[in-house]
Amino acid sequence: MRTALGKKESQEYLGISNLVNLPFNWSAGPYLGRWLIELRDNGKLWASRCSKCQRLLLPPRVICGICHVRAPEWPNWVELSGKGELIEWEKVVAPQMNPSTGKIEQEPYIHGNILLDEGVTFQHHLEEPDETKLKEGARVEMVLKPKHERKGLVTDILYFRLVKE
Amino acid sequence: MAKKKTMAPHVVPGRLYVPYFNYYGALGSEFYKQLRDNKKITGVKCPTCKKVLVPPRSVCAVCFNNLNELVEVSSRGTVQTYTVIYYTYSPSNQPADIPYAYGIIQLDGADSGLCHLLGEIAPDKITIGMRVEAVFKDKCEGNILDIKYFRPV
Repeated sequence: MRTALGKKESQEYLGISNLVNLPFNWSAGPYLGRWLIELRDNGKLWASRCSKCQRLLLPPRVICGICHVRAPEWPNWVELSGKGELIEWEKVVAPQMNPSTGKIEQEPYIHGNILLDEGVTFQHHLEEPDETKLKEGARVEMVLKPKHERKGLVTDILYFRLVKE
Repeated sequence: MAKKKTMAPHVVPGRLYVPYFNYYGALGSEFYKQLRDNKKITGVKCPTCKKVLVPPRSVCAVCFNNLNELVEVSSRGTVQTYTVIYYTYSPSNQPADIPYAYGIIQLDGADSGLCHLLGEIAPDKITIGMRVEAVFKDKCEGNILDIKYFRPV
């Protein structure tokens, strides 16, 4: 490339640093809101049930995505035990940016897909230092934060872990 | 019918925090390099229509030529139009305290207008066609605010 003086130079690329920093609050609505409140105050995991196809919706949804009918409101929900079987899992090793802090998180974690005993799947972190113990169909249970640390967020569920025999 | 029970909304706090770096590109880098190192304002000349575009861009919007011939333009120019801002909408993203003025300045030797701040003049004294000159920062960093503002000659 020619410069202002007409001679060729090795290109130096410049740029500008910038920051998007947007705090916002959102209302979780009557279904997800009630689900989070129950998790925070009573440590209970609930799922709504479609009145037509009878399948469980977790987290509770207002409308069943298949039948397009309205699911009943709390307390006409199903209380879940928080225990189930491991269907599949993956270890996430790629560093990812946390969109709420802007920090790159290097720590690997295990993400699991769990079939709860009531017959609905749920995805969350798995806590198991020994990965060789993870097997398809292994029994896992939900672990919540202590009550005073819960904030009514989905992270009130710390992780799922293998049930000790 | 019984009155429907309502619950207070459960409010979840969120935040989007994204630091990022935006490259100026090949011609833009050269423009800011000249500004930072030599305190010179450069434009790019289209070989077909001979127009000089400031700040430089890589394609002529009229002829669709690829542009790469950088030319120096004067740091003095003429105010083509201006606007005065009386409203604080985002303090950290606004370059000056209200009221302040933006002008579109056609620099001598350029065929397009450069948008920048107008300073050292009361907003109600600004006129179209006024002659202005660039005031540079003492320590340039390679961004558009290396030109502090344009002031009347």
